[in-house]
Amino acid sequence: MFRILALFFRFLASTGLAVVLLLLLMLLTFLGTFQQVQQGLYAVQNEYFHSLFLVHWIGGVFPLPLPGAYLLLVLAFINVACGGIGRARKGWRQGGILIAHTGILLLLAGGFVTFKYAVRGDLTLYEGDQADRFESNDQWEIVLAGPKGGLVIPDKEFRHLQGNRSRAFFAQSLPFDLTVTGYAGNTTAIPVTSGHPAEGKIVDGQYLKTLPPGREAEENVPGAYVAITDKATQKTAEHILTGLAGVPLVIKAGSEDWTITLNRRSWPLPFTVRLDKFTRELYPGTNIPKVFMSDVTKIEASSQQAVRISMNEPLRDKGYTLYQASWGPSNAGPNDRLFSTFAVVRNPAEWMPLYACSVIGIGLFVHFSLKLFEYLRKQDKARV
Amino acid sequence: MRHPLRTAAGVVAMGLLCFSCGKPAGRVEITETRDVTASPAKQEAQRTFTWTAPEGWTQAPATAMRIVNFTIGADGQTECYVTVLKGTGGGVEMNINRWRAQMGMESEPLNAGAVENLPKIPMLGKQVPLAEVAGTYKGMSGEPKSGYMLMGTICELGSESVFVKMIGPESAVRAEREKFIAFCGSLK
Repeated sequence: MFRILALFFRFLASTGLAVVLLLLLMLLTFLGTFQQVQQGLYAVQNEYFHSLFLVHWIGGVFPLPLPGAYLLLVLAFINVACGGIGRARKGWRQGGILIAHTGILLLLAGGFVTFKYAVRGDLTLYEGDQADRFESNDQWEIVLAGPKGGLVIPDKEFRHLQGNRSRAFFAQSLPFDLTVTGYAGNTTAIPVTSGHPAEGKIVDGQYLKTLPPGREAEENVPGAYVAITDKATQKTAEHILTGLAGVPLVIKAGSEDWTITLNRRSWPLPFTVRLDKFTRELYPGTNIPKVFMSDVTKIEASSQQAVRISMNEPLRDKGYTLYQASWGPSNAGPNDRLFSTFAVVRNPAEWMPLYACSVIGIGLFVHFSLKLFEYLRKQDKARV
Repeated sequence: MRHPLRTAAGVVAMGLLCFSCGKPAGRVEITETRDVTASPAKQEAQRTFTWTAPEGWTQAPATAMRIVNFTIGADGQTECYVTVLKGTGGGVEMNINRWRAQMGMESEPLNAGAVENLPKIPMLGKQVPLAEVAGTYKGMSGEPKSGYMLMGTICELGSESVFVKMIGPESAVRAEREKFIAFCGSLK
């Protein structure tokens, strides 16, 4: 048993494993860069860099199974921890190398924390409007709003319910059970007509058509079939639920009215943001923006603060960063009210790359300084 | 590297160990709450649209995403529908290029300047771009349909965006162009 563990540790700590991991990461970067021209950045990011395994199709014909970057980077962390630090020689001469390897571990750990726990979304405001929530571009949620409050089901609980897979959701305060099935990440509801015979289950004279994933995350509008089972009568009614629908699904259960919507996932901000003025300058004679910036007021319980958010000058507060991302409407006339869109990021490891690179820099400085001193000492000895 | 095959096999084995199992089925209790309420008054206050249906357009019932559907012509091959989505729906440029991709023009996307230069038609109090794309339609059904045309427009209203889209054989769509523009102008 001990021998097996020792062999396993030696494998994890080996230089050979490090070389294989680096070569595979290089290959993934190369293939992903070309693939995003066809599939778009969002789809390639999920398939090549956020996955454990993938299949790359060479020429669209020959399958090449590969480990995903997520798996490779987890193994790289283990490899550096076991080999770069665990098995490395210890001594003051190796101090710089050990510090640099520690910096690499910090960098990889920061990447993992960002991947798992960072939250990204958008906040769009018209001049004069204010909000204290922001929305995701690629995550969704089912929101059930009742007479006394609402319940939320995040998409990690239902996005795998594709085809015939289903799951029932319940709550004490909910007068019905909600069963979700047939989820697809990009859909449209199509009425059954002579021009469009049904290609799926028909509900309310329409069916849910699965579309190819969009090149950009914002293009995808998901949908699912939902079955509502009244707890009192045990009667079940089926409906189609689609994202961003202009009208919510309305359910009457006893004396209560509930609405069900499939929305982009949203999170609260620790403060309220009011857009006071949006300024844009256009290139002369065109409608192409040269510069655009937003004057906002950050409102908290006890204070208000005026802030200007522009390109490369975000608002940072309480772990949240608001960047000036875009504006609209794109068909705005000279006197139309404009809106400003902020990209909002909450990343617990936001400063980790800076700290990690600093540690790596210190480690390399220490190592090369020691090497220089040793070289100069040998030179002095040789002269003597 | 003394044993490259052994090393590569080790990478695969590590991956299989890390592979997560599928999520369990069954009943799941909803635990996340939010301070939102449903009120019938709020639902009635939501925006409703009115329009004037052009002659020869047959109206079909509204569906989950389409506030109105029309079939045009006896063969039902040409349809026009209005979709309302919350927010910007991705924006004008992205959606026009998505339509172009549906018509086989994905290798020729329009940039912001080209979208700005599209002809404008009046709709919902604004001048909105009119996209007219002829090509091979590969939108809804599995079979690509050559000789088709997509005519569409988008109006961003801030909290929501309104999409009007007509698809069908090119000759039929071209013949309905003026009626399409009149229909868009009649939307309120």
